[in-house]
Amino acid sequence: MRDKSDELTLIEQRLTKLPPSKFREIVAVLEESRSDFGGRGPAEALISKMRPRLVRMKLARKLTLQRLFCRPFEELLTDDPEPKGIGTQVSRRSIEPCWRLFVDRADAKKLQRIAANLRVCSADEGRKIERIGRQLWAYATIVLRQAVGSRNKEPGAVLTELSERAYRDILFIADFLEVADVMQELKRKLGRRPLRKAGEEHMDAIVTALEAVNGVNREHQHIVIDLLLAWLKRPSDIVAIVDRIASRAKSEIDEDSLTLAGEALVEDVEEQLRSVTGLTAKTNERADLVRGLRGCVSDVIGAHGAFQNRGSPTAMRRLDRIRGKVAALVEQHVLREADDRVLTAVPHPPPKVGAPEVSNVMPIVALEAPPDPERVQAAEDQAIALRLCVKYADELGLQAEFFDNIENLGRAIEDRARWAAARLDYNSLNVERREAAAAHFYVAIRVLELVAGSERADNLRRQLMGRFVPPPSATSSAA
Amino acid sequence: MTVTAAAQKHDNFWPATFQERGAVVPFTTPVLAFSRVRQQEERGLELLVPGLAGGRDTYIIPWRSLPSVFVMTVHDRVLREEIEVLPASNPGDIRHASLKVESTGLAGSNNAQAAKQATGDDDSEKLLTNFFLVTEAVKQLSGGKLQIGPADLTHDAGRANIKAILSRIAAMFRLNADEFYARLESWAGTVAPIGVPGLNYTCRLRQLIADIADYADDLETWSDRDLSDVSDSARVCVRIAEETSSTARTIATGVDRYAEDMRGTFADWEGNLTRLQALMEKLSWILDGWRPIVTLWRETDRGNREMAQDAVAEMLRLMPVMPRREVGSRARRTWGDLSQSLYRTRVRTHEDWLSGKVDIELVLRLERFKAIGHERQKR
Repeated sequence: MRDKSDELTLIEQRLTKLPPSKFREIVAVLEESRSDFGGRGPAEALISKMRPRLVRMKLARKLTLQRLFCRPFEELLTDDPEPKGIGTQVSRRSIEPCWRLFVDRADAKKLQRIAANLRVCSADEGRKIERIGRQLWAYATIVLRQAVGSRNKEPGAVLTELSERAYRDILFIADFLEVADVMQELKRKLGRRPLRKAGEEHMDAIVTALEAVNGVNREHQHIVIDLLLAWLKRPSDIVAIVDRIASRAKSEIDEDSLTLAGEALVEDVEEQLRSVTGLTAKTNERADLVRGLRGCVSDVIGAHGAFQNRGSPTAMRRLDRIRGKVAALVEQHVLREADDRVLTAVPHPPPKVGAPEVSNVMPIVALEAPPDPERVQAAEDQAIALRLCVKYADELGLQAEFFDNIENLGRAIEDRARWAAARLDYNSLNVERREAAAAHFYVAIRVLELVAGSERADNLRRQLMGRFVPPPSATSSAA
Repeated sequence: MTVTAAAQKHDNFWPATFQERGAVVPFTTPVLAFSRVRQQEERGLELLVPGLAGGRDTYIIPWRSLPSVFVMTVHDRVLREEIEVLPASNPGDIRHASLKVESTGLAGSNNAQAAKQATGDDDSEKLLTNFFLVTEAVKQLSGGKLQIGPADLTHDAGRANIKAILSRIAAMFRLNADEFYARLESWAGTVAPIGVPGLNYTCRLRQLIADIADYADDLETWSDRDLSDVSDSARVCVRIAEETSSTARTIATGVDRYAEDMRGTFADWEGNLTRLQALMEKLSWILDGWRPIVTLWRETDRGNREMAQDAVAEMLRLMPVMPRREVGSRARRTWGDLSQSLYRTRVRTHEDWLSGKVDIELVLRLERFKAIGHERQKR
C-alpha cells in the first residue's frame, strides 16, 4: 500500500510531464481551493511539489493573504535554510511557522474581512491591494509583537518549539512589518532591482526612509540597510551610500548601521574572491577570471578608501588578507602565465645559440601557414588581462613584477618577430604564403601593442611590414 | 603638438554638403572614435572631431597632424595611412579601407574574423542581386513567357539555355548576351548594398534603414519612461532617426523603381546607370555614421538608467545631421531646427571617453562595436 508521500511523488512526476497549459489550469484550480489563511492541506502539499516548475515558468500566482503578508520582505527571502553572511535574509522555511503564529493568535473575523477585501481585487488594482496590505501588516505587527515580545525577552513556551532560525526570522519579520509601509515606499523609489548606481533621487528616498524608520524605532535602521543590500547590484556600494547619508544627514544614521555596511562590503569582496578562486580551476574561463580578479582588486581598493576614516582595525585586517590573496592570484594567473600564453602565438627562435641550422627553419615553415586562431585568441586574452591588471599593480604590491614582466615580454615579442623577419626569404614566397607570414607578424604587433603600448608596436610594424607591402603612397604613385 | 595648436574650432556645426560633413572613420582610439574625415580643396584631408574634451563644439584637425597630436592605436595609424591614399573619402571607400585594415587582426582577432565575414557577405550580396536581376530581366522582358532558375546554372545545358535566352532579350536593345550581362553586372555592383525588392535576403543598407526605424521606436519608448532632462535629448535623437530613415526609404524606393521597370531602365541605360549611382552615393552618405549609433543603443542595458542616459549623451555627440544643401526647402527648416536642438541639448560626455588617453577598456569596447557592426542580421 502506498503512503501519502509516495502518492505525492507520483503526482509530482506526472505534473512535470504535463503540457504548460494544463499545468497552468491545475495551478489555478489548486490556488482557488487553498484556504485564505494557508495551512497544511493537500492543496498546499501539492503546490509545494509543483514549486520548482512554478518558479521555472514564472507563473503569475494568485495573491493570497499569506503572500500579501510576505510582500514587504519578499526580496529578502531565500531558499537557504540557514542563510549566512551580512545583511539579514529570511529563510522560506520560517514563513509557515511565522504565519501560523500570526493566524492562530489573530482575530479570525478581522482576518476574514481583510481576506474578503483582497478576494475582490484584481491583479492590476495595485493601490487597493497596497491599502489592504497596510492594514494586514499593521495588524500583524501588533499580533506578532504580543506573541514574541521584544528581542531582549526570553521566548515563551510556544516559541521554544520553534527552531532557532525560525525564532530569529520571526523577530525580524515583526520588526520589518512595523515599518512595512516605509519600506514599500522606499522600494518604489529605488525602482527595478538590481540598482546599479544610487543617484541623487535614490539618496533622497533612502534618507526619507531612514527618517521615517527612526521615527518608529531607531533600532530598525538595519532594515533599511538590509533592503538596500538586497537591492544593490554590487552590495559593496552600500559603504559609499551610508557615507553619503552620513555626510548629509548625520543624525539619521547610527554607528551600528555604518559598521553593518562596512561588514557587508568585506563580506562581498570575500564572496567574490571565493568565486574567482573557483574559476582558476577552469582554464577555459580566463576572461571571467580576469574580470573577477579586477572586480576584487577595485573593490579592495574602494574598501580601503571607505575604511580609511573609520578606524576599523578588524575590517582593515580582513581587507589586507583579501588583498594578499588577490595579489597571489594575479601573480599566478596573469603574470606567470603571460610568457607561455602570449609567446606561443609569436614565432619561436631556436632553442639555444649554436643549435643546428635545421631548427632555424622550423619556425619559418610554421610562418607560412596561417596563425592558429585559438593560440592567437589565447595570446590576446592574456595580453589584455595583463594590461587590465597593470593599473592595480601598485595597490597589489606587484609594481616591480609587472614592470619586469611587461618589459621582458615586450622585448621577447620584438626579438622573436625581428628574428623571424630577418630569416624569412620574402622573394621565394607566393602570395598565399606571404599573406600567412604577414598575418603572423600582425599577431606579434597586436600582442605587443596590448602588452607594451601603441608606440612600440607601431615601431615594430614599420620595421616588419614595409617588406611585405609597399607603403600606400608608393602604391598610389605607381598607379 | 597640442590639440589646440593643430585644430580649428566650429561651434554649432551644420555643414552645407555631405562632403563638408565628412565620412565617419571607425577609429578605435577613444578620443577619435566616430570622428569624420573630409577632403578640403585648399587644406587637403582633415578630421572633424565632435565633442573633443567633452565640449559641444566640433574640432577640425589636419589629417597629417593626427599622429603628432594623438597617441593612436596601431590599427588607427594604418587606417590613417590607407585613407590618405584613397582617391576619394566617401563612406564606401572608407568602409573598404577599414575592412582591409581590420582583417589584419590589428583591432583584435574577433574583428579580423568579422571583417572577413563582412567582405564575404558583400560579395554574396553582389552575387544574389546579380542573379536576381538576370532572372527578373528575363521574366519582365519576355512578358513572363521565359524563366530561368538557379538550377540552370548547375549544368552545361542549363547554362547554354540561359545564354540563348539572354541573347534573345539582349537583341531587343541591340546588344549581344555578353554586353547585356555586363550591364546587369554593373547594375548589381551599384545597388548590391541595398539589393533589389523581392530578393530573399536583406542587404546591408536596407537592413540599416530598418534598424534606424526600430532604433527610433525603441528610443522613443525609453524616453517616454525616462522622466529626466535626458528624455528631451533622446527625443531629438528620435526625430533625427525618423527623418533619416524616412529620407533613406524614399531614396531606396527610387532605386527599387529601376528594377520594377527594366524595359525603361535599359531604354536609356547610360543615363539611368548614372542616376542609380548618384542615388546610391546619396544613400550611403545619408546612412553614414548610423551603424555605430544603432549598435551603441542595442548594446545598452535599458534597465540601467544611468547607463542608458550616458548612451543618449554619447549618441547626441554622434548624431549625423542632414546637410543644408542636401535637403529640400521644407525639410531644411526641419533639419535646421533639429541641428539647433542637437547643439542645445548636447551635454558634457564622460571625461574618460574623451580624455585623450588610450584607455585599453575603451579601445576594447570600440573594437567590439566594430565587430558587431559588421554582423548581418537576417530578418
